[in-house]
Amino acid sequence: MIPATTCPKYEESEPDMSQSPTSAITGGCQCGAVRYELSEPLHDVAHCHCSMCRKAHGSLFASFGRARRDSLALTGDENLTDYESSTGMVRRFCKGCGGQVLIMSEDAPEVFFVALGSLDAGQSPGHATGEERHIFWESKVDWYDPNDDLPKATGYGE
Amino acid sequence: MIPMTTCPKPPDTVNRMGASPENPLQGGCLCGAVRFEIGAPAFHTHHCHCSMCRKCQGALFPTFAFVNRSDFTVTQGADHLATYDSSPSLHRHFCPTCGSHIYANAEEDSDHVGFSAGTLDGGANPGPDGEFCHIFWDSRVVWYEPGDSLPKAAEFDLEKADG
Repeated sequence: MIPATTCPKYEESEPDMSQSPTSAITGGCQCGAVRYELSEPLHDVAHCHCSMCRKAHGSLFASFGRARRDSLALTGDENLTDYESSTGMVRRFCKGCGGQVLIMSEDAPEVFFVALGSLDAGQSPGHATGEERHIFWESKVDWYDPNDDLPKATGYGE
Repeated sequence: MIPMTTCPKPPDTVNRMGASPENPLQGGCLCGAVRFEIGAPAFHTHHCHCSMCRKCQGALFPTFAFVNRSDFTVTQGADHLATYDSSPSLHRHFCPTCGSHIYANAEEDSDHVGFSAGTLDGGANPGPDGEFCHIFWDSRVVWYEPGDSLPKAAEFDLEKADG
């Protein structure tokens, strides 16, 4: 028997839905060793079903948003471990708790990608309406469908 | 633009017949350092929306599948695993090389293991005949909601599952 207390609702403040889109977006890993703040909203939210994201996150899909690198203020980056899951593509996670936080790609040096599960209090990434889709839909597990109305792309879609 | 080659589709060689002692389901972390197998199908699988799971794994709702502890075996890299205690009695085990969370165990329940379903090879179904649900549904992110018809529980009570 696992008591309900093993997975408590985290004592975070509830997201402030009244915040303007220009308010800072914040997040970090579970143990708090790695924290970030973004000076602008994220763009092009992608729910990725590829086998690499599934294994890296242990979930059925992993969600990312894109931002410019100069919008990122990162603290505790000495606590990050880098894993190059394919050439030039580096997944950065906390060595203390294993929380996946960021992806950097050499092919896209001006931007980076935030693992959206790391956002504080489940807040919105601030992306515009229509900037959200599933990618690598063809790699989705065959036993779960999130059954939403978002576009589904094969691969990255473009 | 990230080239498509960064996210290849896995080979479709997965056991889709359901786990058994003779034909276990295999899984592992992204880098391959840690491997495990289950010798019986999961009896309960849930998508957890609590903020601790979200931040431990960086996903909107990590998925955990439960088997009896005797049916879960780390076949490679057991000594390699790092452990993070997100609460005093809940131990989460992840690969320190690639960050994949493999399994968690609660001290209150030494009979069962919950493993990350996303780490099964080939996207295998951990337990086709088991129960599936969402838990900590009220803690889900404010901006995305899956539209599936699975039961949504406010908390987690494995005692109600058919273990």
